[in-house]
Amino acid sequence: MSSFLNRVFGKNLQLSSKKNTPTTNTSSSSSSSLLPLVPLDLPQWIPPDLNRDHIRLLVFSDSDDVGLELIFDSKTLRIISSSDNENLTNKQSIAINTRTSLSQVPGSNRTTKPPMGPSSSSVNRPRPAITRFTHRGKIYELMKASNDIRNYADYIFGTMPLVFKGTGMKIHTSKSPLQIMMSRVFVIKLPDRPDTVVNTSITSEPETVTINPFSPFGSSPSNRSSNSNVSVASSTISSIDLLGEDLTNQRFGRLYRRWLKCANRSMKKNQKQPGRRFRRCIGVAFIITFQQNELSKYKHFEEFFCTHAPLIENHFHKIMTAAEVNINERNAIAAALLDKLFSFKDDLYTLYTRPRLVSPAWYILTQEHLTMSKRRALAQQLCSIIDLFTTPKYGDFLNCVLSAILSYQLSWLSTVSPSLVKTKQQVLFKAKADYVNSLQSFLQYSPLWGQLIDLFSAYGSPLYICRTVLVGSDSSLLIRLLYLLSFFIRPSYLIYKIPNTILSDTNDEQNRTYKKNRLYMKELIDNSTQIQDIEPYSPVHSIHWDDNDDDDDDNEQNLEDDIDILSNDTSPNHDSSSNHDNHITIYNESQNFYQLTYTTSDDIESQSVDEHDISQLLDTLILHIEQMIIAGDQEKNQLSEKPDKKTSLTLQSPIKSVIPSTPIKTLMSLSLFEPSNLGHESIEINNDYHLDLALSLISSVTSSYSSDFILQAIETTNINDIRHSIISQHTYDISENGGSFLNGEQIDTSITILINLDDISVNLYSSKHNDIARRQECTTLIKPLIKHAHLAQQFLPADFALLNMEDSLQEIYFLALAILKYMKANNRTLCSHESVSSFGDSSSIASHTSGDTDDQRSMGTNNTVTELPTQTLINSMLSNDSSHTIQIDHNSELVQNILRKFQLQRSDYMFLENILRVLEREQKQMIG
Amino acid sequence: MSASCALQHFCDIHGPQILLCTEERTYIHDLNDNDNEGLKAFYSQYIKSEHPQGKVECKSCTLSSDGTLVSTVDLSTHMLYISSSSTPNQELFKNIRNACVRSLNIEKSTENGQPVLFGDDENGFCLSLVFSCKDFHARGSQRLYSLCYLCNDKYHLISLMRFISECMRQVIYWLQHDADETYEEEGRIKVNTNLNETIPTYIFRPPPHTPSQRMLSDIVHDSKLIYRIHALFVWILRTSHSAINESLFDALPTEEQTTKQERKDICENEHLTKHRTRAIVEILPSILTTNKQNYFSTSIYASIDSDYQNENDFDDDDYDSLEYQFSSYGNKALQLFKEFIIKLNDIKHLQHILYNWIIGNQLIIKYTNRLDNKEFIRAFASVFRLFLPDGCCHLIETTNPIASCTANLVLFDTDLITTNEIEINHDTNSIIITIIVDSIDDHIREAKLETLPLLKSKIIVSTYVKMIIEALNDNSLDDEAFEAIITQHKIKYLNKAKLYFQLGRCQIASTLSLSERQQMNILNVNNPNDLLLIRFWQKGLSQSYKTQIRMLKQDDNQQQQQQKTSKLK
Repeated sequence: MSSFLNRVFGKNLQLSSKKNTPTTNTSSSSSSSLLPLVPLDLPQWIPPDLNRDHIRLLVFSDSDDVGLELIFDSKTLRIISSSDNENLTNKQSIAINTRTSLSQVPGSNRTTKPPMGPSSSSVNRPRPAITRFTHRGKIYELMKASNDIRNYADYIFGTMPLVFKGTGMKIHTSKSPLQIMMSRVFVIKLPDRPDTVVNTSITSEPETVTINPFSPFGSSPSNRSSNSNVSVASSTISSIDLLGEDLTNQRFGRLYRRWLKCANRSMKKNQKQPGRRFRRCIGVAFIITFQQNELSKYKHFEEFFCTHAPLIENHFHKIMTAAEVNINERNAIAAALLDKLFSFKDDLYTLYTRPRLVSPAWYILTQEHLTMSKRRALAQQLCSIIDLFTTPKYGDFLNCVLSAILSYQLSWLSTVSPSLVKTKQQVLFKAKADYVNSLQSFLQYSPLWGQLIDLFSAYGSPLYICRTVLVGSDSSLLIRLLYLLSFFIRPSYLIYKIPNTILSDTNDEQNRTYKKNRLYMKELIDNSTQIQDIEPYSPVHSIHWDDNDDDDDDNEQNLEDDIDILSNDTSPNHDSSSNHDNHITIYNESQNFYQLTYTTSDDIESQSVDEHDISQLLDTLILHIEQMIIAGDQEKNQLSEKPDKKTSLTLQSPIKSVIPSTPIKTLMSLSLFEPSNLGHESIEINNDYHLDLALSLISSVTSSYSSDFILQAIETTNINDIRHSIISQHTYDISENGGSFLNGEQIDTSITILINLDDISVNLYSSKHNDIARRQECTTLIKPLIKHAHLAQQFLPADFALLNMEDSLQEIYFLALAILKYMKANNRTLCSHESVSSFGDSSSIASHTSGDTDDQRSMGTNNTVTELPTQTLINSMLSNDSSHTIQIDHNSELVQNILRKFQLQRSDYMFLENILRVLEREQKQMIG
Repeated sequence: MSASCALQHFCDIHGPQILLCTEERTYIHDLNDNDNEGLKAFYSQYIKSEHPQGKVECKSCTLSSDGTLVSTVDLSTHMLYISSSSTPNQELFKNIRNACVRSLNIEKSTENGQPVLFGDDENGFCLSLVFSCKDFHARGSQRLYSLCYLCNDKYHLISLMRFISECMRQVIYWLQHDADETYEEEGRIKVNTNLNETIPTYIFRPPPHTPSQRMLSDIVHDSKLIYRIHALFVWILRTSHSAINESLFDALPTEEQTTKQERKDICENEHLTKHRTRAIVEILPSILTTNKQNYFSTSIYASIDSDYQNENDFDDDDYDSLEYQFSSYGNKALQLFKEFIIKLNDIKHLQHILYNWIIGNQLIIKYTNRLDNKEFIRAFASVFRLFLPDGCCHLIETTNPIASCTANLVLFDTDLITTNEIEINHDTNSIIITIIVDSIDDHIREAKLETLPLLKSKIIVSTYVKMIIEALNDNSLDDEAFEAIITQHKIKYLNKAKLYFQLGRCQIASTLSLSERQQMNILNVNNPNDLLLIRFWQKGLSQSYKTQIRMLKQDDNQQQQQQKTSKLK
C-alpha cells in the first residue's frame, strides 16, 4: 500500500514539472479515457435537412423619384458556366440593357400600371425573355421577372410604399407554399450620386466595405469606440449604485448584467437622419420555401429561425450592406448580390445543419434528474480527459487552455458566486436561481438574448466577444478536449413551457364550443369588483394642454392624413411626411411628462414588506430599476428643450369630441384568467439545439470555420486557413458595417482563442492586435483545478473532484474580489500624487508581454490597417500596448504590489484582468 | 420595455381605430398600505384619458358602451395589467396607433390567418393578426379587426412569434365563433310551419340596405366582452412571459453562510421549545448578515431594514445581531486591533496569540471596562472572529470565572468581579490576554499576554498567521479590503478543510494511512503547522456539506460493490 501511495505522490509532487514518467496508474487511466466518450444515454445528432436552392433573395429599390423597382431576384438570375462563357464573350455590350430590363418588371411602376393578380401577362409567353450581361468577366443570365414579384413587393414594403419612413424589419410566414420570409427596408445613407461617380473599385469585396467613403455624415470611426449611448446609461446607473452589492452578495450579478443590457438598449434611440431631398429605400428579403409535404421540416426550421434570428440577421446584414454599397451600379450589384447570396446560403446552411455537441458537459450536469451514478460517470470522463491532457507529452498545455478559456469566457463567474437564497432546487453543487423567472416578466429580456451574452461572454463595456476554436488532426482528441471545455462554458439553458393554447372544448376545428371557458369567464366577471375612489387625474404639468387651438388644427390635419391613407392616395405629401419626422422625435423627448410620479416616492418602498425574502428583494429591485428609468427620463427631460407647440398632435384620438363630457368611468378588477386550470397541462420541452442557443452554438468536430459557433473543433492540418478566417472575421466584427452584437451594439474587441492540438499551443487572437497572436501562459491559479482531477483518479470518487473543482473556481472568484477591494483601497491613497488610470474603462485584452515568442509578429507590420497611417506607425513601434486606450501598466507599483501581496505571477494577473474588469463593472466600484 | 396587446378595428367611417389596449406594468403589492395613493394616481390617469370623445357616436369604434376599464393583478410575477381604449402613456399610444394603421391598412399577410411581424427600433415591434367577423348589419356582412402584440425587443418577439400567434388564433376563433352564432340568428327567421315539426324551417333575410355601425360586443352578443378580451389579453401576455424559462445556476451559499443558516434553523427550533437564557450570547457568522445589513443600510432603504428586523421573531440581541461582526465595526475595529498590537509591543506574542486562536485553542480576553461600554470589547472581539470561519467560532461574554469550555473565545469582564485576583478556570492551552482600557477615551492603555509561551523560539508561525500580520501591517488597506483579503484566505483554507474531510471519509486515503508529508502535498500547503489549522477548520464545514459527502461516498461504495459482484459473476 505504501509503495502505491508513494508512487502516487511521487507523481503528484512533480505535477507542475510534468517530467515524471507515467506510472502504471496514469497509463491505465489514459487508456481508459480512450474508451467511447459518451456512455450516457444521450440523444444522437440527427442532421436536419435544408435545401439551399430554396432560398431566394429579392432586392427592391423604392425612391421618391423613380418609384419601386426590382433590383435583384435570385430566381431569375444565374451565372452561366464557363463553357457557355466562351460562346458569349462577344456579346458584352448587352450589359447596358440591364437597367431597362430591370425596371420593366411587373409591378415596378405601380403608379401607372393597374394592379394585377398573380396570373399576369407573362403567362402568355411560353419563354421568358432572357438578358445576358457581363460583369468582371463573368456572364450572368437574367430571365424575365417572375409574376409573384408584385406580391412580394407588397409584403416587403406594405401596400403603400413610401408611407413607411424608417428602417424596418418584417417576418411573413405562409402555409401554402410553406415558406418563411424575412425582409428589411432601410433608407440609403449614401447621398444619391450619378453612376459615373461611383468608382468601380468599390465593389462587394468585404475588406473594402469597411472603409465607406460615401458616408461622410455617418459616424466616423473614432466615434465608434466611445459609444456615447453606453456611457450615458452607465453614468446614470453608477450614480444610483444600483444594488449596492457587497462581497458575497452576488445574487443579482448575472441578472444585473442582463438589466444593464436592457437599460443600454432602451436608451438607444435612433438618431434622426439628416434632412434629405430624395429618400431612397432598399427592401431586401430572403424567402425560404419548403415543399408542401415537408411540414415537419418546415416547423423545425421555423423554430430554429425564431431562436437563431440574431445570428441569421447578422448574415443577412452582409447582403444589405452589399446592396447599399452597389445600389448605383447596375452591373456590379447583381454580381455582388449573387455572390453574397451564395455565402449567405452557405452560412445559413452551416448554422442549421452543422453537427452539434449534442450534450455539453455543463448541460448534463445541470439536469435536475441526473442520477448519482450517471453524474459520477460523467465526472470520471472529465477527470480522465484532464488526465489525458496532463501526461508529460502535453506539458502545461491543459493549464494554458483552461487559463485562456476561463480568462475570456466568463460565463462561469456567476456560477461560482454564492447564492444567498436557500433554493428549493439544487443540482449537486449548484443552486437554481429561482428569481429569474419572476424577474423575466418585467425586465422583458429575452432569455435567448441572455444566452447570447453568456455564450459570447459579452459582458464588457465596451463590448468584447470571445470565441474558441480547437484545431488538430486527431478528431478523437479534439472531441475530448471540446467536451472538457464544454464544462467550463456555462450559459443558462432554456426550458420551454408551452401551455395548451386551445380554448375551445374540443380540438375539433369544425364544431368549436366554448362552454367551459365561457362558464369560467362568467364566474370571473361575476366576481369582479370595482376599484373605488379613483379621482380623474389632473396633470401637474400643464405644458401640453395649453395649446388647445393648435390641437384642434393638428387633429384635423391628422384626420386628413388618415383619410389620405384610406383613399389610397399614392402621391405622398412631402410636407406632412417631414412633419411626421419632427413629431416622432418630439414624442421621444416629451414622454416623461407622462411618467407617473408615484413610483419615485420612497414611502411605498418602506411600507412594502413581504414575508418572503425573495419577493422583498424583488420589490426592491423593481423599484431600483423604475427609479433608474425615471431618473434617466428626467435627465433626458432636462436636456430636451421646451416642447414644441405641436407636440400633442395625434397623441389623442383623431376623433375630436365637440362637447367634452364628464367621463363616467368605472374601473373593475378582474381575477386572473387561467385556462390551464381547466385541465390543460403545459408541455415542457427542452434539450433541443434548434430551440436552445446554448446547445446550438457549440459545434462538434467539423472541417471548416464558422463564426456563429462560440466553441468549435476543426479537424484540419491547414492551420493557416483557419487563422486567416479568424482574422478576417475579427476585421468584420469590428468593422463599421459589420458585426454588431444583438441589437446593433457595436463590438469593440473580438477575441478568438485558438487551441492547436497538433503543436500543443494556445494562442489568443484579438481584433485589437490584428494579426499578432499572444501565446497564453500557464497560470498558478489553474493548477489546483487540474490537481483535483488527479486526486480523483487516485483516491477520491470522481464526483468529489467536481465539487473540489468548483471550490477552486470559487477561490479564483474570491481572490478577484479581494484584489478589487485592494485596488480600491490603494487607489484612494495613490491618486493624490500619482494619477492611476481608470481601471474599468479599458476594454482591451490583457496586453502583450515580453514573453511573446510568436512567429506571427512579422505579419503585423504589413497588415492592412484601415486607420490613420500614424496610428499604424505607433502600433508597430510600441508593439501592441499602444492600441489600448487606457491600461494599467503591468509594471506599475499597484500591480507589483498586488503580485506580491497575493503571491501571484504575472500570468496570473493577466488571467485575472478580464475577470476583474467584469466584476468591477458589476460592483460599480469606482477605481481611479 | 413592457409588452402590450391591442384589439383594433377598421371602421367604415373612421378607418383604423384602437378598440382596446392591454398594457402591463410592474406592481408592488402592499400589504400594509390600504390607501394606496400611488396606485390610485396611476388608475386615475386612465380615467382621465378615457374621454368619450365622440366615440359614443360611432358604435363601431367602441368596444364597450359603459366606459368600463378592467385591471388585473398578478401577484406571483408582480405585474399589473390594465385595459382601456386609450392609454395615457404617450409613447405606447403612438406605437399602438402606428401598429393599428399598419396592421389594418398597410401590412399585407400572405394569407388569412397568417401573422405578420413588423417594426423597427424606434416604434417597437408588432406581431399582428388580421381577422374578420361576420356581422349581418355590416357592409359586405363582415367587419375587419386585428390583434396586435407589441414589444420593444425584436428578438424576444421573434422567439415567441409562433407561440403568440397561436394564442391569438385561439382568441380569434372564439370571437369568430360567437359572431357566427349571432349572424346565424340574425340572418334568418324561424318560420312556424306545419310541414315538419322536428326540424325547424328558416327563411334567410336579405341584408339591410344601409349598413349600420355596431359594437363588437353586439356582434358577438356579449355585453361583458371587454372583460373577456382583457382576460384573454392578460392570458396572452402572461403566457408569453412564462413560455421560455431560463435556468441559471448560482453556486451554493458559502460554508460560512450555510453554517449560519444551520444555526439559525436550530435557533428557530430552540426558540419554539424553550426560552433561551440571555447569559450566553452566541455570535453568529459575519458574512451573510453583514452584507445584507450593509446592503440595506447603505442603500436608501434603511427603513425596510428596520422593518425587516422587527419581523424576526428572535430576540434581536441574540440571533442576527450585529455584535461581534467585523463589518459592522469596520475601520474602528481594525484601528483598535492595530492599537492592541502596538500596546502588545511584541510580534512574537502576537503570532503566538493568533496561531493558537486559529488552530482552535481557547482565547480568554480579560478586560477592564469602567465605562461599561460593551461596544469597545465587541469591536475588538470582532477582529478575532473575522479570522476564523463562522462554524469554528463560539464566543461567550461572561462575568463568571468558571468559563464554559465549549466556547473558544471568552470575554471576561474583570470590572464586575469584586476581587481582581480570581483566576479564571482554563485549560493549559488557553491563551489569556489582559486589556486595560482607558477610562476616558476608549483607547487601550495596556495589553498583555498572560500565558507566555515557554520558549520564544518555539513560537510557531503558520502561513495564515503570516498573512494576517502582513495585512495588518499594510496601512494602505482599509477595513473593506482587509476583510475581503481575510475572507479570500478563509475560503481557501476552508476548501482545504473540505478536501481533508473528504480524504477522511475515504478508506484508501484515510488520514491515518497518509504521512503528514503526503497530506501536505495533497492539500498543497508548505507549512506543517497549517495542517493543524485545516484539521480544526473542518469544524467550520456545514452539516449539509458533510452529509452530502457521506452520501456520495456511500453511493460510490455501493456502486463499487456492485461492480465487484458483477465482475465475480
